Amino acid sequence: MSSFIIRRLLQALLVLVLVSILVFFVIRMLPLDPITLYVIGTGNMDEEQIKFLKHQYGLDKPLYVQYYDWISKVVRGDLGQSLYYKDSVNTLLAQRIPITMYLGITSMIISISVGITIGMLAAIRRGKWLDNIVSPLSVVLICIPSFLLGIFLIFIFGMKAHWLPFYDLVLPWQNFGLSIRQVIMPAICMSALGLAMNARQMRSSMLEIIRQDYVRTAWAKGLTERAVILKHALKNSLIPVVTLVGMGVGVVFAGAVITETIFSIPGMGRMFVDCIRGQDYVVVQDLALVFGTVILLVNLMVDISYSWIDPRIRYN
Amino acid sequence: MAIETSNAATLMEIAPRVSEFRRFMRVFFKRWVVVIGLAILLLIFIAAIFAPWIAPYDPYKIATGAALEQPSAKHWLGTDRIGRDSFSRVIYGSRTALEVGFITVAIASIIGILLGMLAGFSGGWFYIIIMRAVDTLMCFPGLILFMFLSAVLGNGVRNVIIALSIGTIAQYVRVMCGLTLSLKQNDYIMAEISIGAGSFRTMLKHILPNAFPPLIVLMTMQLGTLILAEAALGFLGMGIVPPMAAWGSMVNDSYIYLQTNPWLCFAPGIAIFLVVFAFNMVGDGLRDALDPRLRGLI
Repeated sequence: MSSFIIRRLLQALLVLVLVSILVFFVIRMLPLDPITLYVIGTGNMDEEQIKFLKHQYGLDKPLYVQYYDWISKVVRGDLGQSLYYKDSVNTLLAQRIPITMYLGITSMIISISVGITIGMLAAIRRGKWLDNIVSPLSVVLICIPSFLLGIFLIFIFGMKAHWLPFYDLVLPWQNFGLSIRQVIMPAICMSALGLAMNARQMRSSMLEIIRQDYVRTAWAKGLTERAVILKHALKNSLIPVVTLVGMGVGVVFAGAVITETIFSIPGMGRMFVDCIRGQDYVVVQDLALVFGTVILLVNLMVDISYSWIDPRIRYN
Repeated sequence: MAIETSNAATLMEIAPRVSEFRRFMRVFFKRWVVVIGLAILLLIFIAAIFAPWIAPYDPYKIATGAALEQPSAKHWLGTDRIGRDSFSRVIYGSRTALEVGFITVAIASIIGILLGMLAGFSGGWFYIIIMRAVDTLMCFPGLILFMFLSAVLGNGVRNVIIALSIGTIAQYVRVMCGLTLSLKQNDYIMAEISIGAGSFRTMLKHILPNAFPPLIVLMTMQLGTLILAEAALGFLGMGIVPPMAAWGSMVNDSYIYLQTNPWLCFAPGIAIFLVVFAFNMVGDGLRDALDPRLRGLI
């Protein structure tokens, strides 16, 4: 077990370095350097200013020195200065991470709990009304563009029915009741895809498991349905779902970009969009690294927990 | 004697082939959702090919006097903020969507399949390098990677295709590499190598055709995913930008008029949903019909 973890950690470290190199050099493939592009974007070309900023950001040094400067600062927790927001990236992220985490955690709770429950019920009541609804509904949720879902929700529940507010999100510790009401629509929008994928995977793995011999034994020794499903079948059918839950974090990030744009929520996803539009490549580079690193760490955790749940994995 | 054996051989070879095709058709057309998906695809292809004849107006003609009209007999889906006919733009948008989807899948699958096959077949250092590169690209959620690449490449159809292609190559490499590794274990590959066939002949004549069924399913599903990704980029104001008729940017363009002119957003959005749904259903049908476990059973 420990040798597996060590091997997996080393591999993750290598990929982390590769991710940072990829992010750094893709930004350097721009036709001009980030500073010049940003200054052109703002409209007032000033040679002196460009030269000053370039020197300040160290862009007059050779590439490998630039990479070293950037990565050594990042490792010490300093992500640099944003040109677009005129503030340090650390401060900006400190404001935005709680918002995206609030949305992301809420939607992951929905997609995991509802997805697993629905998938399980559909499997044990195969062919009944719930099962007949779940399959087509999950196809619809997988195929619908999340921005269309968000627009539908805003139009129906926000604009026509006036049930739910759809602007100026506040955090739960600022105004709990309002915050919960505001988060419903963005959370549905962000969790739809993950929910459908979890429900589908749970349904098919549950169907597989309840055909196993040990489940038949559990029935045969006279256990109630509750005990058979929750004590014997559920644990084993959750194994394939663990991978999906890991992927769910990626789905949340991609969903945050779209959802935060539709509901104008000032989170990390919105920041990524704004900085790309505002040509602030310093921040784009940092955010891409942050997204990549988080996903890498989540995948690492999924792999390790997976090998703990299912020991056969360690030897492959 | 010689004639007899060759006859028997041809009979044995030809007989399963015919039934294979009929079995494929029967399984493929059995599920009604697959048939619906195929019908939607057919409609969209017709819309894309015959766009100039189907669309009642020029999708790029600006008529500020007739801006933001409600749906009517004259303008089926109304007009957008500068008076362009929304129905005509949705029809022309199918061209953009299919163009981006097909070209991207072609580029990404050819490069990805070749790299994956070479990595899986040769093993060693090449395998390790390719696989770490794939891991690196796979660290980014799809949309984030597409946004990052298109931020650097800039807007326009060509750049979107490049960004989406680079972003999806890794998936083909991973799938093809896995398929090659498992196909390599088969006895007929061993036999082929032991009678002295070269690596390229083995790869092109034996591994590639046998890996084809799962790949064609992946490619079909990817068409939907990529059209969705292109629309998401367009919605975020990146990638394909106005005046070009593309569904994602149409939603972005008319989002602020949701309260008064909801159909300007709904129509292109539903078009995207239908295409993604159709490609997914057809992909699903192909997976069932190409499933080797069913071979010889039905």
